[in-house]
Amino acid sequence: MIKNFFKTLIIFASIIFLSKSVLSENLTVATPHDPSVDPHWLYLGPNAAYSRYIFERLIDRDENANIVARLAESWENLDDLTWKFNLRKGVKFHDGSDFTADDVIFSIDRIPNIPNNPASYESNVSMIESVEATDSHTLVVKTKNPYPLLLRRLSGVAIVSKSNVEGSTTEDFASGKVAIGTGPYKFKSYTPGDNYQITVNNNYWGVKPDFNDVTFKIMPDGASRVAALLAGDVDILEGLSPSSVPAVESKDGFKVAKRASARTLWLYVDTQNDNSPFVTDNDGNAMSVNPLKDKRVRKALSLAIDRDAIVSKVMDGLAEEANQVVPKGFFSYSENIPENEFNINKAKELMAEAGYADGFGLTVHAPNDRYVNDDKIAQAIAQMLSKIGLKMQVETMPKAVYFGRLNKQEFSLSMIGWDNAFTGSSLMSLSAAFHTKEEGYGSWNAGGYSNTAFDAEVEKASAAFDMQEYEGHLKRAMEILIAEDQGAIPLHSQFVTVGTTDKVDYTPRADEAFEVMLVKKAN
Amino acid sequence: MKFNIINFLKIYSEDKLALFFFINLIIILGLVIFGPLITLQNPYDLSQLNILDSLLPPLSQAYENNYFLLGTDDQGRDLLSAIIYGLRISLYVGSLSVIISLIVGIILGVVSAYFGGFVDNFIMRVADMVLAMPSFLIALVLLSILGRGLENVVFALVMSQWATFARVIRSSALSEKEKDYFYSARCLCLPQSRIIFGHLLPNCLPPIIVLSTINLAFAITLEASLSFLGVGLPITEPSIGLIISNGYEYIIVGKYWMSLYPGLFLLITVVSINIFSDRLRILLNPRLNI
Repeated sequence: MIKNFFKTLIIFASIIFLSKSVLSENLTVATPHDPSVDPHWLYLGPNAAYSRYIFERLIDRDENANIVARLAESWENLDDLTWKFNLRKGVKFHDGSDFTADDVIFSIDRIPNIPNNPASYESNVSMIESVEATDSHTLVVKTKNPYPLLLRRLSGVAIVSKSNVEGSTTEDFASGKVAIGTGPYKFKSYTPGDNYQITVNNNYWGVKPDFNDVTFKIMPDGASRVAALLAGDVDILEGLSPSSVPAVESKDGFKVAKRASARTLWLYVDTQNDNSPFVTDNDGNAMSVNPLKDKRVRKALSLAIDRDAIVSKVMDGLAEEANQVVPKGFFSYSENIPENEFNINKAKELMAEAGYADGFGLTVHAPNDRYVNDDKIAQAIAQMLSKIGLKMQVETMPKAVYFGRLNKQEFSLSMIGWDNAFTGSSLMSLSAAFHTKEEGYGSWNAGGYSNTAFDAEVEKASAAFDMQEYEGHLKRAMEILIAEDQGAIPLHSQFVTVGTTDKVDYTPRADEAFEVMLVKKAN
Repeated sequence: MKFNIINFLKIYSEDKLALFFFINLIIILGLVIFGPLITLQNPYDLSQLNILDSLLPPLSQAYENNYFLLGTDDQGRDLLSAIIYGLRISLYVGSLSVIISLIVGIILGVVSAYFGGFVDNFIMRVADMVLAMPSFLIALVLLSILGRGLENVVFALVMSQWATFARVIRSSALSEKEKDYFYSARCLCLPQSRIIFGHLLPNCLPPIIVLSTINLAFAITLEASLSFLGVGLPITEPSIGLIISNGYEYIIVGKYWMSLYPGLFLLITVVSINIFSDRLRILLNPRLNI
């Protein structure tokens, strides 16, 4: 009797085992992020990454941040202000309709016109003066100013189907009704907070991906994702925390794909408001002056942060110190900016010199589900700053709340991690996050930094077609921002880590975006 | 028999298991009250922490002859200090919320039992509404609206607990209302307040004492669960639930101490309170006559 029972058990076990070991066409991904199925809604890295499956751009960036042609086959500069794009012919949307120049014009028009968008893609199209279709597959784009980075900007403009999307709302995307693009995958289903499923587009014009059906299991908790991978519930896991890397690497049948990313974390400092919202005196009362406007105080903050400890202890070595807002060795990295110094005594002296020997109260804000160990870094920073006499508090919140408040300048000292792969240089971070707020600039300037010399360099850089000149202006701007003004406090550049079973291979992207098309069946 | 504390303790300690957990409870209370005098550091003072001490295993040396007895957490906090301070918060939040719910419950319960009719109906239907929803859900929803913070947690706990108290007090008051002493008090035309607070309420108390201790344990677990989910107290002042949640992702790499020890402390506290209240229930029940 018992023998029989065991026999049946073994048979069942082997059936289950066999069915799992058959190389399947399906891929299951554990991810911390919910998608915004609407590719023009809430401009955050994970959303832009998700949109790459269903939708395509005219031009995209590959895993090494190089420009690749997608819906545009070729392009040329007619003059400094005019660009001509020849669109790919014979491309069809998922519903069978033809892709034409009208869809591109519609998509570019739609981006700035979505109401209540907490983080808009507008900065990617705001330099465009006009778009005209000379025929169904030729576009002429005119920019307001000479804009050499237009191609990279267009890699942030997903093309939606005009006939479907016209008159629809963001909710219609999430329900799948108008989630119709030209990409390698089609929308299948989306249950918010639980899972998102896509299925292969058999009529895709380009290279077919390795997997037919992909399910994203949305698991915000890092430990659960690791457990799901090790238990065999998922094939690949996005957002592997550095502390879990050894747990995955040491297990047979699992591996970790790593790569230094182009994302640099820094702290915005409120250099604009006279009454900064989260600066108080030592008793918690509002202050009539904002100590953060004093350059010496900002220098002291930077001196008090032990980045080496953050890298080794919080990031488990999977990060690299940053002394400016691009990673070391990146295009437009300035060698003239001195290495970070960790010196508490010097920081205290500077605080005393500025008249704050007894410190003041300050809250550091950070998201808790966006960057690698973001909330832990914020706590470590608070700890370090409290050593120079500041009364520190930490407040962390989900990204959906955080970035909305950040863009309303509601914080005094706040964390952000900027992906520099988008422009392949520091231009986007400098122009969006530090240039004085005005038409086309400063849309992410949450610290209110403003310096006319800096602005001039950024403007020159964004108009420069000559690469050497372009890089020179960017370097100079970075020197003004960091070495002279300490308008931001650089922290570190993080690594991308993705855990997989050994049945699949994955090549991480420099911009950290997860991409199913880069998941290959292992041989 | 007149109530006498020595006598009571004698009867109480007839059950050795209950005695053991009672002593446990007293030790925990001692730790909680005198905690700041004996801990290695104030885990909530950021300037006393050092990130370079983070993730040390139990019995690592801190400085001179001091040891991190239970290791440190991911921010370099001494885990034992953090647990003791965390228990302080947990017990503080738990008792405060029970006391407030008790007061609210007593007032509403006695009022509805005494006046009956529309008042009774109204209060009890509201209480039914609260009881119909899981208390965890009520607390979670309230905290998501109000945000983190100690007062908010207490408020959320009170909102999810007052109805139980009101219900129990009302029913025991209703049965007391039928007794002769109550009729006598009414016949003597005593003032309403004296009838309610001098006669009705004291006789309703025994079940309340038991219910309070049970609810204290429940409030502590509820607070821990809320903190574990990250909606409770601020992250720089972790209560037990948050300490467990911080350590939880390290279990998979073998750094068990960050979740295990706070979990054990929480378990022992809650079990001690529960066994204590269970023993009280037996002793205070006249029908079990011991």
